[in-house]
Amino acid sequence: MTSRATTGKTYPSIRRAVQRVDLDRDTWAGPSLLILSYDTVGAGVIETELLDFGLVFEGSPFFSYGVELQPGHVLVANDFPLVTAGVKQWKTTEVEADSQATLFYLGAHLWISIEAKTAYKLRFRLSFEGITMRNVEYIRGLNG
Amino acid sequence: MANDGAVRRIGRSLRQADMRQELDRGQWATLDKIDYDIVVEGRGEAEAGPFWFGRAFDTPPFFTFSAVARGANTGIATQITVGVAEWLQDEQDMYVGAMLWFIFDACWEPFPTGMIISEDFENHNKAYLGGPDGNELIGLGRLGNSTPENPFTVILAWPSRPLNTIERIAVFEPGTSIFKLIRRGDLSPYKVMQDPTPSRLEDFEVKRSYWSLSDVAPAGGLWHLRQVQQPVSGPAVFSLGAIDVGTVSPCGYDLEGDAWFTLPLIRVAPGMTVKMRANAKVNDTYDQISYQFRFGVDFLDEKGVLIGSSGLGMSTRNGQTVGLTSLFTSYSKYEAIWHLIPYGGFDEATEVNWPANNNDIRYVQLRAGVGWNPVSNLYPYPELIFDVDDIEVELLGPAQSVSAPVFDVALNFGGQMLQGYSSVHPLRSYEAPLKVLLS
Repeated sequence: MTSRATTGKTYPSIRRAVQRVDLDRDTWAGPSLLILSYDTVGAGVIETELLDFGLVFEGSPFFSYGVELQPGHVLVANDFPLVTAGVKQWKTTEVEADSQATLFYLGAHLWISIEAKTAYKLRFRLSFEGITMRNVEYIRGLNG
Repeated sequence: MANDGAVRRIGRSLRQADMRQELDRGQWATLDKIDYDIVVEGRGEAEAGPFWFGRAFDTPPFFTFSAVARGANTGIATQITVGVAEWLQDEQDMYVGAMLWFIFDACWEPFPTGMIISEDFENHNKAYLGGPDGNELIGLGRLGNSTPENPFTVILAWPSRPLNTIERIAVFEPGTSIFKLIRRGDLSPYKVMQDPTPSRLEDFEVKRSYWSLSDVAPAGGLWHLRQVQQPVSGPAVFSLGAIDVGTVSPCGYDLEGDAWFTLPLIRVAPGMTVKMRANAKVNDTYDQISYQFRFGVDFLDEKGVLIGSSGLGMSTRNGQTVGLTSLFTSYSKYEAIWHLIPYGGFDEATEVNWPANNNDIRYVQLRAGVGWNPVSNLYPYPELIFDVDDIEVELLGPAQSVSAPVFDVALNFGGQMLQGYSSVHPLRSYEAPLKVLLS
């Protein structure tokens, strides 16, 4: 009996805690999809400048890319472009090695490889998907 | 108070307008996507479409794709790109379809794609180049002719015993000042880069003299040649260009010996005829060395396991006495032919160790070699500088035996999709090619 009574008192507080976590999650973080365009001319391998997300991802976002010819350009037979892209380096918050603080992801340097003899004008559409923080002013290390 | 009331009213109507706008946005455009599942067959490139969405996006949607190889073709294709060649818009400038380009660049490598495990070659260089750990360097070459406009990529390869496969491949990309050390089987194409770094190459010119070549045959190195990645399902002739296979020092190790240099792995089928032609040149620093130019071939099964080999030798001798330090040049055209006759062995091969069932052969790895037999113990050690130029490989039928790679490809277009738009502006129905054939 004693045990049951104690358990019964705990349920509302668990529910409140769960609600608070849900509320915090909605308030403080949520799923985001960021798509950036990046235009290239020619072929070769490049490393992009820092692409600043303007968002704060909690954890490294999922990266994917698409590619399209820029308007007005056509494919040349036997020389369709082969392209690949990937993340060379993330820009993150600086966290001391022994710190337990969460690492936030703020931007990325990408590598892009274009194989073709034709100087195609391509438009890469770079997608970053993940959980972003809403109230970044409270995150230590982000604002100077 | 009156002012306060007006402000409140204005504020309320602004809020209502905002809410209505959000409601409209929610009703008329939502984040949505369109998927297509198609089949792509073959190697090469193709433009395909139109892929009609049957719906409309108000801005270009985000396009992605994924490809999964079917069955035994897994691992054949090394690079795949699908891109948007053109967006198709209606009279309202909405995005209602797309033309796509496909390019699947494949090679004949049966091993799974690996990963780059180190970009710091300098340390490995000292460890492996003729090092004491048994990892002799067995191949060094360059792609094409080296000119300022077309510098070459150097590829080094080490054997892995006893499987006769490649343990490591190092690719030197001039201009990058790094060697990429690659795990077995990674055949990602390497672009011929500009701005070579001659000093690095000279280093290897010197060190090549110290290779141990007493134990290299028949372990295989592997050349990755971007320009020979083409279908070989039918009769095909392709040129491998010139390959400087390097210098060998026959003395200092064994007075007799041979060295083999491996050429690209080629996917074949039972019944196929493989012809190999090349110009071979041997410069030796003495006139007393008998040497023999050789062609060889290793036969591998579907999993890349060595199941047999064949060699074809053509003896020659310099025949002149020109002094101890003079170079003598022999430059001849050679041809070797292997008929991969099902259940019947091979024609025109002088040394054969073929598998019991030739139908198991799925890959051949051609080799060019030189053997020597000095007549006396010479000092300083002679060198054979061995070059092979104008290598051509001809593959003759049967066309039906080599299946083209088949991939299941998922195409995805995602973005702000207009809702109810098609009822106002008739759109084409949702339709797309079911299969794309590459060539």
